[in-house]
Amino acid sequence: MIIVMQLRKNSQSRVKSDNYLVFEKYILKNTKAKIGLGIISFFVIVAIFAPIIAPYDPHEINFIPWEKPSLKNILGVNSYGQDIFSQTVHGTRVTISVGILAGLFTSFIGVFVGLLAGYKGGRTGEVLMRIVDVFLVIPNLAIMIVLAAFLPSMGIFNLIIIIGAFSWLWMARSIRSQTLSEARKEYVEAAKVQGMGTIEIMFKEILPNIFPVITANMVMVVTSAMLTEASLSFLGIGDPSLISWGQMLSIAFANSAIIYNAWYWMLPPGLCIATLGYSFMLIGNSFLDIYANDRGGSVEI
Amino acid sequence: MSKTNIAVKFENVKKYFPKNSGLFRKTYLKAVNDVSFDIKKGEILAVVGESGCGKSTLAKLLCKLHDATEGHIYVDGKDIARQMSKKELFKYRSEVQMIFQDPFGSLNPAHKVSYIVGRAIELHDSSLSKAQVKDQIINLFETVGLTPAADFMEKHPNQLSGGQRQRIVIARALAVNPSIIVADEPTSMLDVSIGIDIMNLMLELQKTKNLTYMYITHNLASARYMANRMVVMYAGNCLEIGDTDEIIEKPLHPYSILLLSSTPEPFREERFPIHASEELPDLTSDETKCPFYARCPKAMERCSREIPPAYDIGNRKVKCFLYENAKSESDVQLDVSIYSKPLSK
Amino acid sequence: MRYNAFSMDKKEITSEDEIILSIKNLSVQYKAERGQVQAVNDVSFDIHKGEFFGLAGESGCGKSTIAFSIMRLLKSSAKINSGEINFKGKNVLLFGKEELRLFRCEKASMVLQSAMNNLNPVVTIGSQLADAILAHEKVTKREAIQRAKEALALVNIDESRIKAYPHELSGGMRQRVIIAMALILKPDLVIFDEPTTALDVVVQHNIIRRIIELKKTLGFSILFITHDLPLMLEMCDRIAIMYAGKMVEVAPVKNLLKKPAHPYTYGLLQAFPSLVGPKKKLRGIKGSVPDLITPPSGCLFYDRCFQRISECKSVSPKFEKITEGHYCACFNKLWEGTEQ
Repeated sequence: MIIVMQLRKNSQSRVKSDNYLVFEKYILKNTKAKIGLGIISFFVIVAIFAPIIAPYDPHEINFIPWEKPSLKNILGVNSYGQDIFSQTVHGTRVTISVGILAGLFTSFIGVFVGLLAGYKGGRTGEVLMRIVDVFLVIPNLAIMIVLAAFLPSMGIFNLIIIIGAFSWLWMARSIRSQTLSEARKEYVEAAKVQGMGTIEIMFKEILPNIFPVITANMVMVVTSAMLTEASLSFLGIGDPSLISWGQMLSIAFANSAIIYNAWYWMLPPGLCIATLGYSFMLIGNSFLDIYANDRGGSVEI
Repeated sequence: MSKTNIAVKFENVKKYFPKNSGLFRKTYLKAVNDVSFDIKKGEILAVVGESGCGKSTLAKLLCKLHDATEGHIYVDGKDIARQMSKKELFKYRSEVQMIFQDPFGSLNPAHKVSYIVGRAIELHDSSLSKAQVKDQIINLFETVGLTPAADFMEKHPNQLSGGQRQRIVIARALAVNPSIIVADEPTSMLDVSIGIDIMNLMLELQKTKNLTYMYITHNLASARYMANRMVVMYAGNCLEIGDTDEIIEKPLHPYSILLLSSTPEPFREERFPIHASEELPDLTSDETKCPFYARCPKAMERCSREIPPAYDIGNRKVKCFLYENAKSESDVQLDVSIYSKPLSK
Repeated sequence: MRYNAFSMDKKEITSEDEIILSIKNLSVQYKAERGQVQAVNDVSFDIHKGEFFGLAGESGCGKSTIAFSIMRLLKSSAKINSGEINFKGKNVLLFGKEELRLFRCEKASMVLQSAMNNLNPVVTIGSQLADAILAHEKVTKREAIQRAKEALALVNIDESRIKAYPHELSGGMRQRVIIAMALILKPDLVIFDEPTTALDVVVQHNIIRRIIELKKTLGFSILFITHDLPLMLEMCDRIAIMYAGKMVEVAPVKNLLKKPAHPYTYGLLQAFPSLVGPKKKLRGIKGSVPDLITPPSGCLFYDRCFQRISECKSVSPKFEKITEGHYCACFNKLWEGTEQ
């Protein structure tokens, strides 16, 4: 009894490390983030184990076309005779990988440009921001369509590059505005007085302090990448051999699924896109809320 | 240049910040406007003045956080106000360090305090091993009074109290072995009972490490406690320079008189109410006149047309036409009674 | 020892003076992430008519909390768990909505440190002053503006600035507008919470002197809160010293300067550098304020006290009277009130 009480007392007086406290604040105690992470993990597991989960090969055309959902085909059959459930499961792979990879690619550029523009300020910052502004004016989707027409083939790699090449702009703006306010703080001045170099100040001093904003932005960028991929596939620009949710919607639409009342063809991919997108939003917004709360107010995003 | 006993020499230093106003006329905010004074090696010089007088800008100029618009700043004989090569600038960083006003803001909340101090050590001596750096960190922590050092190594700034944070700031400044320390209002954001300990620490460090301080403050009483010499600044100009005790006992410049009589001091008799104009100086003005003209009860017509030079009275310098022909302090009888009546303008 | 000339004007409080504010056993708790913070712990003091009463202490000692409690402006995370705040005999804590509305501004008003930066930026100062009047009295807009002009004159602001916007005025002038607002309905008690801390010393001097003059002519009592002890010693009649939520000493300024009873008061007085007198080495108070979520038993100053005795560790000292107007909570006082 005494030993139990001692143990309990010890764990209560354990000083929580600061990283643990941050982890606790942003994830453990953050219901929205937990839900979001849960959903994402679910989809990631599905993507990894797709061949095992999916009952049939998604390209197999052995089934009766337009068949409604049944025990054999849980989500029914599309107009070519392919099992929709298997397609949805395999589609997870493309969507998640394109979304995450394009998101990461974008983030690297966005964070670097944003930090540089915000820390350096002055002329460098202005020039960078004008470039960003110019690109922002050009409609994303239109440019992507044009680019897609130029590229020889539309593999997954090209898709990621195209999506990534334009999505970093919003992120750069947002990171820049956060960096601007951090760069005014005295610890940055102190770093300068010590003789720290620009790169070190940007990445080792400022970046850790704006991490939640970066994460929130990354999350939105990933969502946007997934939706862009879906849009491109829907428009028929993506790789036709890759099954993704957007591609499924595109083919469903092209084959007049609406007229055939084939809700079981359109609903699954659409719902999956919406759910995954929503989960990223949950994480991003909740991170922003906590970050803004710590800073007593709203945060420009 | 040969080794002098002057650690820092400001010579006609000006710092103008451009303000965007209109397409044609460029206006400048004259934060520091022709300042000249010396700091001797091993002494503590206080720079006192109210907000906007330019004292913080002066601190940043000495630390090369800003570049002077005009003038020379000689540190140990070398002029640092000119363009310096990256190498020279980096070496300079290990000679002059700064203690900041805000102990909460001048430490990066994302790092452990041992990292903050350790990084400063590593930056300027990359040959040290990890163990050697750690030893130096522990040494520094103990020097600034954070004992036992092991208790503080793993903490983040927000886990420490204001006084402890300021000690870390001092430790960080000492980490590069500087010879000159610029302290910008180091205790104004701390409780007085804690601030006194920090001031005592700074005094002790000065003796043990033979440091030279430029101590910036708006509090005359703390200037008296810390510094042996003092510069009184107003609107970017230094109006009076001299021995701290002498200035406090008998201030010469009308502004110094006003500053001293407005400072709360329960053990000093206030014989009559003081009428002081609160008009703020216009730092963007191009006019050539004494900056204190608008508020000076003894202003003469001349003061609105010319800027007074610095006159030598004993071991003091005063920038006031009233002292033009004075040979000693008692030649001009000026005291707080000049403020006993409201300004007649 | 010579005192500031204004000490000639220092009010000697006698038991015949009318008591405007009487606080009895006030305790206030705040809800923080880690637990409940006892911000104010069983505090009692009185303010008499026309008295300049100072509340001193370092950051976190609870002085602002007391001020906000009197005006019942505490944030929702704070709770007054016990005590009475009697304003002219009536307990403010029991006031209903309408009584409270009349109390604030008409009977008692407050000047905050940050107020000068929180004036409505899109309304002229004249309008803001007039609004204060119109909210409490049935007068015409014209009369209200006229009263506003008079109020501005009280604080040495020229009438012509009645149509100025806050950003057109300097910091010192904005704070005077706030003071004018606080005085415009002729309250009996004005609470000042660090009103001049953000201002330069020349402006501070002018404003404080003006406040003292106004107190003489209008006859209100002042509760002045600041951490700047020299300033308080110059202006106040009596000063209360707070530490970690507890009031440790209340004394007339003369007594405080000559014979501080509590070791903390002594330590504080020793820590302020002065402009006159011999230069001696000053000492801070070693240690730091105890954790107010899990405070130690006994006297909260025990760890840092140079006068401590064994009793102090286990029992919390009671706040008791030493001599007229002078109270202290300590088992081993530096002065028992016997010698004169």
